[in-house]
Amino acid sequence: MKRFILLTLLLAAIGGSVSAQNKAQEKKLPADAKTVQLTIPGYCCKGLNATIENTLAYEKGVVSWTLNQEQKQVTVVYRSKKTTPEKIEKALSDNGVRTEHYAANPRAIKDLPKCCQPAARGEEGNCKH
Amino acid sequence: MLLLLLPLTASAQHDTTGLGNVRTLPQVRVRSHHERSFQKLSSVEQSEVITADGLKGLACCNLGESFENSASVEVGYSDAVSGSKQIQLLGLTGIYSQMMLENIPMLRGIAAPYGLGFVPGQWLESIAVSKGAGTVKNGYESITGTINLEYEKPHRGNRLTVNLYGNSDGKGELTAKTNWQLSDRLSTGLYLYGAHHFLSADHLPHDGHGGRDGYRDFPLQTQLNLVNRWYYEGDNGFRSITLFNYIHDERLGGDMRFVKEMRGNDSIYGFGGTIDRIHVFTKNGKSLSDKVSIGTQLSASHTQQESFYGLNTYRSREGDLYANVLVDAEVGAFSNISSGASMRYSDMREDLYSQPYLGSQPFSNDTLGWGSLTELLPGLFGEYTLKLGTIFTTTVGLRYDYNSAFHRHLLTPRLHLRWEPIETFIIRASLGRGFRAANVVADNIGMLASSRTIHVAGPIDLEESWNGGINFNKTFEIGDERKLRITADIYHTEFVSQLVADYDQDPNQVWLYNLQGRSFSDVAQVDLNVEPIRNFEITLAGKLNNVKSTYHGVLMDKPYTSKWRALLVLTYHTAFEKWRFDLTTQLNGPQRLPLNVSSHNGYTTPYIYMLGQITRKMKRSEIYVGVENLTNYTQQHPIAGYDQPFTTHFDASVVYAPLMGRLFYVGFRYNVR
Repeated sequence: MKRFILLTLLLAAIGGSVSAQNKAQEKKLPADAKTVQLTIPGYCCKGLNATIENTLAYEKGVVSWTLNQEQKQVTVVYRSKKTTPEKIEKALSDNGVRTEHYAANPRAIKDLPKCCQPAARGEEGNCKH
Repeated sequence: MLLLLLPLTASAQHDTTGLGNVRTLPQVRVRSHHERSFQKLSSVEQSEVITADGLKGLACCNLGESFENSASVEVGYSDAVSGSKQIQLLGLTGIYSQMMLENIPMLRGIAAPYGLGFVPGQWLESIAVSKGAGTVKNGYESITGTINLEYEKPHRGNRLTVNLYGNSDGKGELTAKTNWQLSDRLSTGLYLYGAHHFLSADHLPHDGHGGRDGYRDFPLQTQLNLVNRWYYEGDNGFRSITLFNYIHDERLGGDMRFVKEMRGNDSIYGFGGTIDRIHVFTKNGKSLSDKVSIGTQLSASHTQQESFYGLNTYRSREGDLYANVLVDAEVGAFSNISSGASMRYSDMREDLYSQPYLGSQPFSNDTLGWGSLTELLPGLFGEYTLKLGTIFTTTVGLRYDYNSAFHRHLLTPRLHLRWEPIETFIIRASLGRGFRAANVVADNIGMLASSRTIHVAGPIDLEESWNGGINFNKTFEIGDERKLRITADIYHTEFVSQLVADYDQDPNQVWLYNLQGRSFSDVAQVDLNVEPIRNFEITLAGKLNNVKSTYHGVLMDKPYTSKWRALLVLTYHTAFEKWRFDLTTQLNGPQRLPLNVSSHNGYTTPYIYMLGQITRKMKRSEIYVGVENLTNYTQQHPIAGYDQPFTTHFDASVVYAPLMGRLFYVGFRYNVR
C-alpha cells in the first residue's frame, strides 16, 4: 500500500511540473523582451537542432526561439536585463555550434553528429550527410 | 575506414573486441534525447548497454550499484560484515562472466570478490552486458557472458567534472575528472575518486523488536582511486590508448566497539580488509589498408589484499601480464576474418590462516591443494564472420590455449547467429564452451564470515562448461518516434567440471570439491520497454531462474539464487531533461539458503526493493536527491550467534536481502566543457 501512495505522489509531482511548464509558456512576454536574429554559418542539417535547442533551453534569459533551417538562422527572444546576444552566441559556440562571431569549441564538436562536424570546424560547404 | 581499438564512436557503440574493425560496427543513431540504456540491435550477440545518462538516474557510487535497472544482472552481498557485493548473470555468480575494462579482461582471480567496488560509477561512459558465450578474441573465460566497461575518454570528456555525494548513513564521496587536449593528436585525463564513511550505523534489529545486534550494518570504508589516461590519434590511421590505475581500499566492520588495534581479539568480532591494486594497459591499433587493420593490447596488474574475519586471516596476491595481438581483414563483400595470438602469465597466491573456533578444526593451508597457482597461457584464435546485409550474420570462432598449471590443451569453439527475417524482428542464437581456473577462497569469500570448518578435497580441476541460448527481439513503432520493444531470451549453462562449495552437509562445515554429477543453470527472461507518452518510459521485466548443482550426491537448488525476479522501471523527464524522475521497483523471489546454524533455513520469502531519484539539471550543474530501499525492507537478524562470535553458533554469511535500511542521499555535479 505504502508504495502505491509513494508512486501516486511521484506521478502527482510529475504532473505538477508539467502543468507548471505549460503555464510558463502561456505567460505574456516580459517587459524587457527583445528579439535577435543569429546567423549560424556552422549549421549543416537538422542533426544540429538538438544541440542548438538544448543550449538555448538552459541559457539564462532566453524566452523562446525559432529555428529557420534554410536561412541557417535562429531567432531568439531574450530578456535584455538578463543576457545579451553575445552571451547567447558564446553559449552556442561553447557547445560546438559555430556562430557568426565565435568559433566552435573543438572539444564540443566531437559530440556533434558526424555529418555536422566538418561544418562546425569551419569547412564551408562540407556538410556530409 | 577507422581502425577501431577505440570506442570512439559515439556513446557506447563499441565493438566486442576493442581490436576489431569498425566496419562491423553498427552505425550510431543520432537521437534527440539521451538514452539511458539500449539494446544493440545490429550486434550478433545479445547485448544491452547502460549509458552514463542511465547511470545518472541511480545513486551509483560504484559498479555494484549500477545494475539496479537491469533485469539481466542481479547483485547480492557476499556476507554481513565485509560489505562486498557479487553480481549474478544468467543465474551464476559474476566469476563466470568476463569483466572487461575497455575490452581488456580485468577483475579476474582474487580481485573479483571486491572488484565491483573498484569502479566508480561517475567514471563510466557505458556498461555493455552481453549474454551468452562471448567472442573468442578475449580468451576462454566468458561462460555466461561479458560485461565491458568504458571509462570516460579524454578527447571527448568535459574539461572538468566534479561530483559531490553524501548519504544519510554518513558516507561521503568526491569524484573529480579533468581532461586536457594537449595538441590536435594527444589528450590526457586525470580522474580521482575518494570515498569515506564518517559514521557507523547499526539499524538492523536482530529480533524484530527494535533490539540491535551491535554490529555495523556496513563496514567503514575508505577508498582512493586514481586514473591517468592518454589518447593519441595519428593521421595515418594510428591510435593509441594508455591507462594507469591505482586503488587503495580499506574497510573495517563487525562489532560497533571494534577498532583496528583490536585485531586478534577473541571476544569482540571484527572485520578488516586492505587492498592495493595497480593496473596499466596500453592498446594500439593501425589500419594497414582499407580492409586490413592490426591491433595490440598489453596489460599488467598487481593486486594484493589482506583481510580478517574475526580470527580468520586471508591474504592473497596476484600478478598478471597479458598480451593480445589481432589482425582483422575484410575478405570479399560479405565476410570478415579476425585472427590473432595471446599470452597470459598469471601468478596467484592465496593463504588462509584460521584459528579454531570453539569446537571446530583448525584450517591447514596445505589443504588448499595448491596455495599458489602460476598459469602460463599461450593461445591462438580465429574468427570468421559472414554478413549478408542486415538480414543474416553468423560468427564462427575457435581458439586454442595451453594452460601450464593444469597441463591441458584447451579448445574453445564459439558460434553466433543473427537473423532478421522481417524488419525489426531479430532472432539470435549462441553456443560456446568456456573454461576457468577457480580460486578456492576468493570465489567463496563469504564462508570466512562464519565459524564453518573449511575442508578442501584437492586438487581442484579447471572449471569447464557449455553455454547456449536463443533470443528474440521485436520493435514496434507506436508513433511520434516512440517505440515498444519486446525481448525474450532463454539460456542454458551446463558444467562439465566445477568447484563446488557444499554448505549443506553440516551447518558447521563447508566442503570444497570437484563437481560429481550435474550442475546447470536455466534462465528465461522477458523484457518489455515502452514509451506510452512522450518522455515517459516504462520497462517491465520478468525472469525465471532454475539453477541446480549436485551437493554430496543430491541435486539441489544453488543457494542464494532467486527462483524468479521481476523489475519495473519508470522514468519521466520534462522538456530538455531539466527535471528527471526515476523510480525502480524490484521484486525478488525466494532463494534457497544452505543448511546453517541461524534461524533462517529453507527458502526465503520474496521481498520488494525500491529506489528513486529526482534530478534537476541546470546549464553547468546538476543536483540530485534520492532514496534507496524506499520500503525499508531489511533482513532480520542477519548475524547468527552475534553475541557469541567465536563459537560454532556464529554465522554472518547467510545474507539474502538488503542489510541497509532506507537511505537518503543528495549529490551535486558541476561540469565545465
